[in-house]
Amino acid sequence: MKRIFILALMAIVISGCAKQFLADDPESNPLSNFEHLWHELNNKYSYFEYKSIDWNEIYSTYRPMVYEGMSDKELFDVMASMLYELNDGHVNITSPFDRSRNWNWFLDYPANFNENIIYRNYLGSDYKITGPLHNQIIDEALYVYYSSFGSSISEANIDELIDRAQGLNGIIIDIRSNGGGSSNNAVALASALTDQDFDYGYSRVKNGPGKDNFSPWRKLSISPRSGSRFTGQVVLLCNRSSYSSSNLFAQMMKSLPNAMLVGDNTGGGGGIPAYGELPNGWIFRFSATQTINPQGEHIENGVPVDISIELSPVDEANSIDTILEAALSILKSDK
Amino acid sequence: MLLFATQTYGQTQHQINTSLGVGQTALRDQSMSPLAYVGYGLACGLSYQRQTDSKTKFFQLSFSNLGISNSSGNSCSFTSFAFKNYSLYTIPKELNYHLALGWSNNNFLNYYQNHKYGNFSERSNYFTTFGFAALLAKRFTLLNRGFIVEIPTDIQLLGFYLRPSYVSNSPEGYLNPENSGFEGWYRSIEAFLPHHSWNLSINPRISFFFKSGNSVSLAYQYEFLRINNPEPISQSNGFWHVSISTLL
Repeated sequence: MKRIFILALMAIVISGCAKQFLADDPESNPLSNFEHLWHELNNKYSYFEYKSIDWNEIYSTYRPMVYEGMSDKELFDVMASMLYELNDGHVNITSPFDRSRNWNWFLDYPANFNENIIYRNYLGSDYKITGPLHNQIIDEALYVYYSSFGSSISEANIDELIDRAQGLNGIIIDIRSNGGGSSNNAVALASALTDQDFDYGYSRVKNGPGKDNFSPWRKLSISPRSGSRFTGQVVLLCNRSSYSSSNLFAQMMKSLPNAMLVGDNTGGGGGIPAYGELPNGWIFRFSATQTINPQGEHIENGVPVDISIELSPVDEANSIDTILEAALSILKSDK
Repeated sequence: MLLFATQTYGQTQHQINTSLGVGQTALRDQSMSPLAYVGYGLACGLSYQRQTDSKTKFFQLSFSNLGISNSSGNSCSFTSFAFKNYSLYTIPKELNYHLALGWSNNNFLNYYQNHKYGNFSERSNYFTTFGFAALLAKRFTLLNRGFIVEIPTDIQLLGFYLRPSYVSNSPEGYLNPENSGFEGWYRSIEAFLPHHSWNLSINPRISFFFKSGNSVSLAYQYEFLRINNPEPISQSNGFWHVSISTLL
């Protein structure tokens, strides 16, 4: 009986202490956090070879900047600078006080977009708000402004959009300054613009710590949706701020025979970002996959447009969107 | 598990048991974070037991759902399903002090999602394992009431598991588009071997019997899991359960 009670007492003692049977959390100091970040990126980042980045050299540059007793903000700055070297909009680190970034993919280029002109001069006061798709019929074409792939499109939204486009010269989809979001929305929209399956590229996932450890390439395809579809002319408006899922959508449209890309090349972001955590709880993000087009070219640095047009400062001053006007002209001439 | 609850004397006894519990899970999945995620939540279980003089078969379904978080406040949702069975053979000793030995099989699925991660936020692991099981039981009387204390335990030694690939939640075999469903599974499974992987549990309980032979129990279920390769996963669960057993 005594042994039974001892065992029962042990059960009570260990209850609520499940964490005690795991090893302690790793030590969190400037060096351990820096090392963790560097090693995680070293093992999991997907674009070292494509971008010809010597990550070891970057380590030897930034490691000496880390020292015991440095403040969190100083450590953050060192880490942010190190990640900046990857020149990748999908790479960042988030602390409670800041999030690092590299936005050269659009800051180094003209904006080619003015949202005020779109709302005041083209969408006007009676445009339709079909979910996140703001749309208006302009010169016998359906103009659709989609500002973020982070805003979900429903099947009913697409039905409404396609219904509105029937009988018109075409659809102009404006994803300028759309920084991405969920690729599911890109697939949903693309599947409404085709009557047959089409391939738009390949992707592969990092599957080991070696620089060339990747899964086999997986074909990326679009199948037509079961509901209503529009198979007329599509013009996609892009700029350098069209990034990530917008970049992917641009590649889908690039592969669609009845679609044309107009404006400026997209900003890129061909790798799907994955996440990790440092011993101090800061979250970091990095590209963990690669995407190529059907010709085998990476889309990490953007998808080229078919017709390159810049927003003219003179037009902009007169509230005219040069790029949208060009798209309208294309659809008129193709009528 | 209510083994040796009543004397069977050559007859076969069937029991069904339902339980509800609260407890704690601690998880460290190095592929997600170096930090441990810990939290409290609910668990429930349903089990069936078939018992003869010399042998007991025991089958248990269990489910738990928790919110877990780390020392920085980042959080995950965590869900676990398990199906465990024991085959135990009585080693005769004395009437109210029993030892039984046998084997066990454990199958479980964990699913968790990190709320701070955008893509690749999900992780899931599946295990099927086989190992040894033992049970020590002791009857006693307190305040003229019949009680039994049981301590079943098992250690899993051999089996297989599926876990996410290096960065995505898909197991490795499913990353190759040429693999069929079965081939993807076959190419994804990894061996669960001693010194590489550990899974053990201990489940002490005390039960009070009614005259009908039905009983009510208070149990503490503790389980530990560790997979060392390629990025270690450690998990430690402890749940207090109240359960009711009914003779069929």
